[in-house]
Amino acid sequence: MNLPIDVRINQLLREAFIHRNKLVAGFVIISLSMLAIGLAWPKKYESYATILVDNKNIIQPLMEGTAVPTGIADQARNARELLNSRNIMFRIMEFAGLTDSSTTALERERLLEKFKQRMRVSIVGRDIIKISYEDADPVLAQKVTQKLAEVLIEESRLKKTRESAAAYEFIDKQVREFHAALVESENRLKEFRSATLDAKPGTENAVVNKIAELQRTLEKTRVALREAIIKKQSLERQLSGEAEVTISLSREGQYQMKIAELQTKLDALRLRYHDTYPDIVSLKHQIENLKQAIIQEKKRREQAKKAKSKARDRYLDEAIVFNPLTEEIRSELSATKTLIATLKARISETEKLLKEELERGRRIHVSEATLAELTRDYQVNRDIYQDLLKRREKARISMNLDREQQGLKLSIYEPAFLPLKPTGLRFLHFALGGILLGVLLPLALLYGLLQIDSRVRDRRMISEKLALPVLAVVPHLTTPSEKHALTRNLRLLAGVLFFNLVIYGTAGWLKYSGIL
Amino acid sequence: MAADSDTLDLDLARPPASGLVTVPSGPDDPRGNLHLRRNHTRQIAEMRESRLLSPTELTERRIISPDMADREVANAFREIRRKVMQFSGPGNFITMVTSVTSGGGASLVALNLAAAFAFDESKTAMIIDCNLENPQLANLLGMKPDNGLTNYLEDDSLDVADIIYPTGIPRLRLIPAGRRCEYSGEYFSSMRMEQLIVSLKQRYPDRYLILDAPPIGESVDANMLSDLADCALIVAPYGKVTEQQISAAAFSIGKDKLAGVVFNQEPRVRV
Repeated sequence: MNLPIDVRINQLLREAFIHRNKLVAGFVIISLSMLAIGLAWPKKYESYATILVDNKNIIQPLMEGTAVPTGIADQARNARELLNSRNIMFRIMEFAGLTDSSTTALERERLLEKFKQRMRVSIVGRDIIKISYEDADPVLAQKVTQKLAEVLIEESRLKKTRESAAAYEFIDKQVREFHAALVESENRLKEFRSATLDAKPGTENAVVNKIAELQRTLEKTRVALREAIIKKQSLERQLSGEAEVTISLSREGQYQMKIAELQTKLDALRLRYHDTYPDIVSLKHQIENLKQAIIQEKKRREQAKKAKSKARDRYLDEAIVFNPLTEEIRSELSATKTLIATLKARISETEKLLKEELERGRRIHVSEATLAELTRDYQVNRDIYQDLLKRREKARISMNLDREQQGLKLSIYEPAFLPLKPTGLRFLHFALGGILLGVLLPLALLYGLLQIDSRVRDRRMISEKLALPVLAVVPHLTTPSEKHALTRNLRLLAGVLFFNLVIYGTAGWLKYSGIL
Repeated sequence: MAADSDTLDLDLARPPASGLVTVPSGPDDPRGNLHLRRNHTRQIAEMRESRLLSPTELTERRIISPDMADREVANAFREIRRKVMQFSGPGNFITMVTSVTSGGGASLVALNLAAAFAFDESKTAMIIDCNLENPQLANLLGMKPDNGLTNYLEDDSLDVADIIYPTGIPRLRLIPAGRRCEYSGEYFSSMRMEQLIVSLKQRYPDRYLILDAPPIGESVDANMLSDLADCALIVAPYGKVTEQQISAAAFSIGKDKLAGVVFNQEPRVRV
């Protein structure tokens, strides 16, 4: 059953009154313990220094496009790492007087851990690094903080100088290397040019034109040659003896045809007449005569052939042999033969020239590829070299800036101060906390116990939850002697509380007057 | 302190008309009844009281009085009285007061309730200490009685008058527990006990009987006594009993006889 809050508070007060002795005892114990802790709690003084980070990084333009500029977060991390490096830590610890030459390595390591815990590096705002250090001694806290800030700046300056010097060295080395490469490629190009004279720009076009011209000439000459050969053949045919034979053969043919004609006529007559019919006899004679004529013709042809072989070019046919046209043809044939020989000679000459030109063209191709490669090498080397030269000059400037401490990135913004008030939990906190805790803790405990305890402490539990009639609530009857005892008890408790207060006051006074 | 020879409670065996009652009349005679009533009032007024307790003594013994400074307590008991009377109806009745657990202050509640009944000058009250194992009433009243309930129940020769004691509170009589005994069960189931209770109740219509019973959770006596009583009160002390114990006690008594619960000993924050 959930009781209303005012009933609960009432109940708590009632129970608190019943257990007042325990509550007061608890209060006294807790508050005095806290007071004692507060007195014994070591004081810590924290000093801090802030360092302004110049965001204008000089290596940034130098490395533009190739490097990412370091942000403030990286700066803080760098600072932390820098300060956390053992050498620097040991140096500062020795400065703070924590260690000396007699400190053993193990002790040194232990002290280092403690030292690290006392030191903090954090980022404040956009570009400020805060270094804080706490110590029981405020003066030492200030000194160490100042030293930390100085060391940080000094170290990062050194680091930067080294960095820019290294960058310059690197670029310088690269410049030298590229210079050598450039000179070499220049030389190679020169040598190649002097070695191949025809490897000049435009040579290739000339060669191509020449080749085309030669090929055209060759084609023309070949056509002319073919024409001459055909002409020669034709002339030769005209002059050949085969013309005679052809004529002869044609006369034989005529005879044969005549015979066939007559034979047809003969056959037709034989159908109607006897062989003795005069026409038939006549026809037979005629056919026989024609046959004789054929035989004579054959004989004459044979004789002519024999004569031909004897008299070489002399034709048997007198009509042809003595033709004036033949003489003309013969002279033309001779001229044609001369032309053919000339043309052949010209073709072979042109082919030779063409071959040479093609060879030359091929040579020009190869040398041009080589030339392009060499030129490219040279150009690349030259470009990089020029770029590096510029960069080297920039690097030299930034190196000089760092050397002259002009491009400084870190500077002390706020120097370490002497802390007057201790940080962390102080005596006052403990004292006030003790009082508060002394009141609240026992009450909370009591309240918790009341929540757990199921025993009836309110009439509502009976009347509402158990639904039993409650006749009345009889308050506790106090006798006069009990009243006296109560009064005495309350006075005692008041006295205890007052005494507690006196202790508090005394402790506070001693604390703030500096005695404790 | 010797047993008081209260003329009012001389002998139950004798008829009430004898002795002080001069005009005997039957119970069915209204005139006689009225007369009897008047007679009783006179008798009550004439009750011989021993030395009355002073207000200081009463406060010292945590006994309430009509004119006490702490009105809250007196009013609480008046409230109980009113509610019990409402519960039981007209006429006198027997009220049993028991506690859920020992140390619940039931005896004090019973005594104060009896005192509250006796506030009325026309009423008397009698409280009988039935907590034979741990009798408290005599102590509370600062008395050392010779005889008591057990003596009477054991010894037939004893007269009721021998065990009735004045308490120092006007119109309130006490029958103490008597000799201490461990086995009380048979006493309360005995005929003599029943006769005693009935006769005590019937004899005077204006007398309220209150039985101070042992804690109901620890003894069967309370159950036996509740049979004899007309109504019962359960005393639940603050912060000492759980709901289960209270409901068990209520169940044990039964709804028809349970007048209610008295939430006792509620602490007061008083500086």
